[in-house]
Amino acid sequence: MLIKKNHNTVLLSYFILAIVLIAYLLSSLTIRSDMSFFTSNSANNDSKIIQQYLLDGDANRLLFIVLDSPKVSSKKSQDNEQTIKKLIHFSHQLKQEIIKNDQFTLIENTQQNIEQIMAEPLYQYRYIINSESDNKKRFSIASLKQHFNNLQQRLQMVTSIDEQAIIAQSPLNVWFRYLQSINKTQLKQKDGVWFTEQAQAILLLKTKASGFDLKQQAKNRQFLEQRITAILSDGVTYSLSGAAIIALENSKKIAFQIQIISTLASVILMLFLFLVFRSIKQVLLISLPLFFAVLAGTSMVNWIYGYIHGISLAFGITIIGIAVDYPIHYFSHLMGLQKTGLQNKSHYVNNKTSLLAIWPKLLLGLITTLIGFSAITFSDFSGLNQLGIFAMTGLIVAMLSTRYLLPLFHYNSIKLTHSKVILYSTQVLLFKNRCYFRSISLALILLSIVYITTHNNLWENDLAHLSPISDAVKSNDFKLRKSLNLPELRYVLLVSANNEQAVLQKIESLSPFLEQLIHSKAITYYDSAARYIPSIDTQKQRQEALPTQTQLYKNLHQALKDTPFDIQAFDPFIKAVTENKNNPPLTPNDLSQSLFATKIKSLLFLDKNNNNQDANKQKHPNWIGVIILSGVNGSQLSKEFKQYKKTSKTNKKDTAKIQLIDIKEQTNKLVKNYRIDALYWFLWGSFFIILSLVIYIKKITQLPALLLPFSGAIILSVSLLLLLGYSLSIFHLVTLLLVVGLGIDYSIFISQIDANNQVDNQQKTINLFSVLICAISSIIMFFSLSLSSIPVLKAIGLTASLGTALAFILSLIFSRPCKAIE
Amino acid sequence: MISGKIRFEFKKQLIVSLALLFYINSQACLANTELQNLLLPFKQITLVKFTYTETRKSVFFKKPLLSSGEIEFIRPDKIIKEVLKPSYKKFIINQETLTIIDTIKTNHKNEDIKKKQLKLTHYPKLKQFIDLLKALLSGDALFLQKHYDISISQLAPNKNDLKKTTHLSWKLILTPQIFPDNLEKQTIKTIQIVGTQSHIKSIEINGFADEYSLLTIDKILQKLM
Repeated sequence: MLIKKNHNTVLLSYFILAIVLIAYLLSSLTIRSDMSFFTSNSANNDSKIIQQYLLDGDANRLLFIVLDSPKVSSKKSQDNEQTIKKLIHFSHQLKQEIIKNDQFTLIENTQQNIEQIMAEPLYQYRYIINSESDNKKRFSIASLKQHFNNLQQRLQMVTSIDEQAIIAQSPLNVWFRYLQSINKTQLKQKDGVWFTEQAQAILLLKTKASGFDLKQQAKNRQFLEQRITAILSDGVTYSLSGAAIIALENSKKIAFQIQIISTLASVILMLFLFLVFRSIKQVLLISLPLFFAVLAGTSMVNWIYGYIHGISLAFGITIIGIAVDYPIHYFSHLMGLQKTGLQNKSHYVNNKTSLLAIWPKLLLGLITTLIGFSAITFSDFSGLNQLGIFAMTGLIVAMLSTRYLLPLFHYNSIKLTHSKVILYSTQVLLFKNRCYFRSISLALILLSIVYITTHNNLWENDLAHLSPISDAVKSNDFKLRKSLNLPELRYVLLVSANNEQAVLQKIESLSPFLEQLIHSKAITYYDSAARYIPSIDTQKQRQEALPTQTQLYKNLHQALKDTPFDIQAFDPFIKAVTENKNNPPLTPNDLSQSLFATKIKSLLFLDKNNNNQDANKQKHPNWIGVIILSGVNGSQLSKEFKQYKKTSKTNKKDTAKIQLIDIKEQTNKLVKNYRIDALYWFLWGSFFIILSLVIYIKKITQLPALLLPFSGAIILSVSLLLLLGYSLSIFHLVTLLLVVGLGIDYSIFISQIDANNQVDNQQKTINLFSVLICAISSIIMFFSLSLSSIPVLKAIGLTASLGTALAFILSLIFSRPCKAIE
Repeated sequence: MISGKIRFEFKKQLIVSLALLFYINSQACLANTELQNLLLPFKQITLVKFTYTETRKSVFFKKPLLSSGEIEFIRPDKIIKEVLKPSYKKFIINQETLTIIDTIKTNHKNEDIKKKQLKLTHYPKLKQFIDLLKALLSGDALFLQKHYDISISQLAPNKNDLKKTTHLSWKLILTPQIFPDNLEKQTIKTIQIVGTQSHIKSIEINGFADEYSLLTIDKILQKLM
């Protein structure tokens, strides 16, 4: 009675635990899908700056809407004109719809609206920010005459109230020329809409949320799709592009494949387990420890970090699939016990006896696996830290659930003999271990070591090869960016100095070199913070060159003398120039309301990771200016940059530094460091595993029986992966940790090494039977994953399934005594 | 009794509604046919050249700006405008391209010729006016119907014309679609075209912000049918 009461308490505690964890996760789980999985505390400074730029930057916030009509290709020019008109109409209508949503900070089909221009803080400083011409020359009588002559021509057409306001304030057209200079595009314009060569209308949007904030970006996409489909008609089609859209597609594709694969694999696995255990209850209970493991692992990571990386979660669930092995071992041994007829009257006592019989083995398997995963929690990469914590918590909870929860249930007596095929295979495997298998295996392992060490492409450092994005999608996005002169995310110049003004001055001093790069076709365009906000020195120089109010009035009077213009109509112009002359210089803080605020912030920022110290150990703030380069000819650019560095005389007072960065190279370097870090901790983990095994067995001669299966499985899996044409990435390495865990688990159960050293044939059969079920279950799951077309999933699936199969085979060969041929 | 009254009321309403509908429809058809009839003589013109005077009023000018010169239209889409006063300038519009030829007096009493080519698509307002002019000169009633609300009225003959030799004058008023919430962005309030048979006398554009432009055609220099 008391026992039953205790059982109910345990059951209730687990139930409450599940409810509490689910409630906690529902209320505070934050899944991050950004680049931060790859961020490291120990990466070099350039990598960190690039990380900061990529995370906060403008480039990943841009989205494109492409409107297309199949009728455009028609030969009739009248039809084409009609279609173009339709696209123009839709483009304007869409702009009006999207503008209402404050999640989009910029919507452009060509130029900005007049209201936007008037409200733009930079517009108020138009004579200071425009580098196009010298202010002294611009306001001379001759230049004013020329400008007003052009204006007279423009005024042949009647104007709107808005246009009148802007002409009165800015008759020299300075602002529009400035906008043209920062919006240089190869696209054609028709009635205020951008068109590609293929007559597709283009709208450019910038989102408030970062491109990696997939949750918000999914909402943005849904909003856009709803609005677009409501507006478009007459066969006009649309497509969305941009970093966020690609990332969404990516995650959708991964989610879809995982869903399909895991559903299929789960069905097959459940059928298989049903065939073995002949009980739906047991099949369902096998997944119970895994369920608790996932809940606990996710909660623990979320509690420590405040969020969990999407990659850590998905990868974590895969690698703690090993948790399914614990109940399988338990149920197999329970069946074995039933077969031996040792059933007790109380099912709980039976259950407990059966579990306690395998408990030391399960515990050793758990401890060694935990040691393996604990190593990665020391890594500098937050993604690996999380993965380690997730796996450790999950495995402990899975083991506790197996130990305390599963024995509470009543199981119908099922005999081992029900699974005739598996049992037969077990018998075959049990008696056919020949010693020459060991020699062959050892030879193969040695050969593999030679093959691995001499292989040229052992490591995969290019993240792009692991990306599921198709080349067509990439090239389409690249073309769109290029046509709008948007950053291609490949090459940047980094300028660093102790303060933001020094950075801006250095960028300004680079202008002749950058113009030279355009001239020599090394680049087609560049963008920097100095385009939007010149240094205070430059602003002051330009202010000084502006005429005084009296001077401007005199010059204007003189210039308009023989023209029909009424000078009084241009009072707003005189006022604006005077304000530009007398206003305090503009600083980045004044531009928080600007349309260009996020852009400026991503091009000029304080280095948060700076360690810049002088001889007196005083820390200096380090400001970074990013100069984005578009249309780059890589080799020409590197050549000219080297030449520039050689010839430019460095002023001793000039502390600003300039570097040319290849983002792709930097990112790949980051991935390489990540992989080196993972390898380092993988080796440490293996060392501690061996140490713990030595402590467990107490006899060094028994060590190979436990060591060779998992180490051999890793070596052979790696060489097979290389033979299949793959190179090793971070994902392969972490999956190999799983193989270590599985390998140890298998060899512990198959080996004769036992605490009491009393292992009979019956026990051997049961042990091998349970390992075989575990191995088949793991292979079903992981092999299904390897069928995915997504490189990361394929890498995990292939490594794990190969590793599992090899660990099992090698455990059979090395963990039991062999027989020589008589 | 009551139901009979209701039925009668309903019938009356229906008849009035249908009558109104037919009336509106017939008026629209009438306007369409009238416009087509009005522009029919222009359809036969392949070339026309005339002198003009242009008056332009704007808040930016002290007094109305006057200019004069010649305009030539060659079917289907070539327009040449030569401004002779106050200074010489030539505009050639060929399909979607505008060429501006400017003569600048140099210090040595010589003249320099400056030529500039522009795509009309970059200047939507200018394109709008040129499209209107082309539609008028080539009698494209469909174009006008598509872009403007149309009203036509016949004008009384000139009282001084005792011999009654002139044809009856007409006035065509074109109103672009107006968005009351967005008046600041709109340019043209109405366009009034006065003409007789196959001859346009004037094109008057009234803008929203006291903007005004009047093009008067003085003399036909050449006309090929």
